[in-house]
Amino acid sequence: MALSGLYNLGLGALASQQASIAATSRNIANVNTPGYRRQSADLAAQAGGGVQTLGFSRADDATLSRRERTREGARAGAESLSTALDGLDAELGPIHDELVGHVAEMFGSFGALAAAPTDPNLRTDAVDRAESVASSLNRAASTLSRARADADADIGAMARQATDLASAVAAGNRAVRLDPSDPGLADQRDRAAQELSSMIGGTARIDPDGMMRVVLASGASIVDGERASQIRATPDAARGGLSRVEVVDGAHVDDVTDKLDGGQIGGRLRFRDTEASQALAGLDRLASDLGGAINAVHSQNAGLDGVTGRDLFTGSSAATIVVSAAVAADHRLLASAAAGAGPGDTSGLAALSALRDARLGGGGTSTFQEEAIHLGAQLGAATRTARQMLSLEQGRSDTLAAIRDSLSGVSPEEELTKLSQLQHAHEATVRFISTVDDMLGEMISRL
Amino acid sequence: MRVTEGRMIERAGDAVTQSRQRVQQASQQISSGIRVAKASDDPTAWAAGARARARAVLDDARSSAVSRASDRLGETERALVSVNDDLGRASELATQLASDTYGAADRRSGAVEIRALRSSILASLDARDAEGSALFGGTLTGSPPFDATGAYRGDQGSASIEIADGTRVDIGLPGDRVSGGAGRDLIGLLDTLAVALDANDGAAIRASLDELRGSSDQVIDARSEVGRRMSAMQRANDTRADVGVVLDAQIERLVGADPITAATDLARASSGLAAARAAAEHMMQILQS
Repeated sequence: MALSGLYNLGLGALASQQASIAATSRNIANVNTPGYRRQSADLAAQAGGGVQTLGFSRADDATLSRRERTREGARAGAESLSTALDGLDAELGPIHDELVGHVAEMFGSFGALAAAPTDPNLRTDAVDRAESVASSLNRAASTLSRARADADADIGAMARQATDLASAVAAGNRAVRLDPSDPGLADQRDRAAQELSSMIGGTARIDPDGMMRVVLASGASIVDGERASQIRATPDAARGGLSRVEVVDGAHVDDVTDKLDGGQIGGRLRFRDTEASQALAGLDRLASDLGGAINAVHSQNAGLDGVTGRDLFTGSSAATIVVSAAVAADHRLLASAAAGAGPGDTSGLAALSALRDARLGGGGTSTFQEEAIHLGAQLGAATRTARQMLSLEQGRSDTLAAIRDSLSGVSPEEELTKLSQLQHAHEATVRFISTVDDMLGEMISRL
Repeated sequence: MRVTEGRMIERAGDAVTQSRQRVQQASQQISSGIRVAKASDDPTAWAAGARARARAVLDDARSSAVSRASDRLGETERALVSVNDDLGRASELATQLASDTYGAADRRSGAVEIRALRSSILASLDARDAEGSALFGGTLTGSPPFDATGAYRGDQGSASIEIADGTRVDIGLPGDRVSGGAGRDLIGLLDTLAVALDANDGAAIRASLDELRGSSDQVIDARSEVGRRMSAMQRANDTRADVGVVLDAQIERLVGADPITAATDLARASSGLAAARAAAEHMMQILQS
């Protein structure tokens, strides 16, 4: 080999060592950067000897990353649902406790009034207890409606974030296409894809052309190459003014509200349209069944004025049920006696009390008391299940993150060791070049 | 598997956070004495506790009703005692004045006393409870149950309370169970006796003696009925008091925190936290060195 060849050999080695040092330095600098994949310089043997630097690569497993993104969608969905249910549980739990107590107190007060049906204090107490039941139902309905509206507002904000993230992934695809040699660009795109999965779920995979494609469970594509769709929340009259979630790609609009499999939006949608909605429907059914049954008995019996035909409650939903204005204003109108009997008769109160044990709640399967307890326990169970699901999903995500970290994470200790090795190699290369230089000087001096 | 320092620090942080949450949860249980504060803590226990609390609320209401009803029946009992005493005095007078050793003047004086006893009985039968409701009017509690002639103006209805599941007890006694109706007319009997005394009619006076004894039995029967109801209510209340103790224990067992278990949990969680902290510190020292 000619001496110039030896020079080139040394220079190639220097360049490769510098590239490796640069990669190691970046690794150390980004040790705490989320989503950063450990980088290394790609070296190759040169024909005729020596080494050349081909570029940089990052330690990444495309399949593992895809699974991690998909799992992140499930984890974020579980977290979104669990957080919303925890918030609702904190607010609605005490109201459920009150409701159960007030239903028992109302029926108890009918029984207590029977001991002295003309006692104004007992009559006031019985009407007050009925008002407490209505008030608890009103507050529970209001809490649920507000929680659903809050979730809806969250969904709107999340849809905007998802749109931004989809654009960021598409922009990342473009950047990677323009400069495939920069591993940092792929990191940025992967990070955006991870956040997008966290926001809306779906699957984000790298196509053979190196482009990230993001597809929702419904099949709707939200990132296709360098094109991103818009994710928007549109108020929907069919959903009582709450939003539907749409994927907008040019003129094509795809309603994905009921098709999301995870992500924060999916979690909030499940909270809004399933858990909170079912809880509200249950309360509405209880209010309607309870009010209807009590009114049916109340209207057949008479107040202290001997008049029949009055309802105790008006309104047929949890939000609207109240004690009728007439009875609330004049407790003597509470129907305690049978039609035609004197004011000391308690047949009306006995009939009202009997409703306590009648299986008229839950579609004729349980008592009103049991139904109120069931609704509270149902929300508690949903909240607990959501926490357990979050814990499960978090565990799965942690496992995948640990595997990914094992493959792609940066260990400062390893990088410092590598840096030390590179330093020795660099010193050897410098000495090699110096020796070649000395040999060249010797040859020139002999000539 | 390769484990980076970042992952180790993250794991150590998670372990400390989880241990701290367990300590906080155990401390909260000890300080509040409550294990199930809301349904999501333990839905099944919460539902069972809610059922037991609802039962306790119902039992309290029944106890309150029984207490009020007992007062009312007690007043009914006192009125009947008074009626019976007056009847006893009337019977005593009639027995005494039935003897022909007493003259017309004595019998006229006796008639005056009999009329006073009649007024007293009528007043007793017009007794009212604390709310002013007539005790003997049936369900017609707003007006006097007997008019001045002693005719019953009430009805045969009665208020009733539920003293146990499916068991109701009438707390009113229609006045015609004491006088008139299917039984003897006390007022009419005393009117007849007074007339016989005024007329110095020994035979008529003697004829009233059996009627007076029968009337007294009628009042005693009514008192027995009232006593039987009061006794039933008392038994129900006693049972309820026993059930109440069981319910309290049940609620405590379902949603309360067992002090020994809670203290053990706290000690265990505190040890866990100390261990997690020590492990984290040790790891940080290794990494720093």
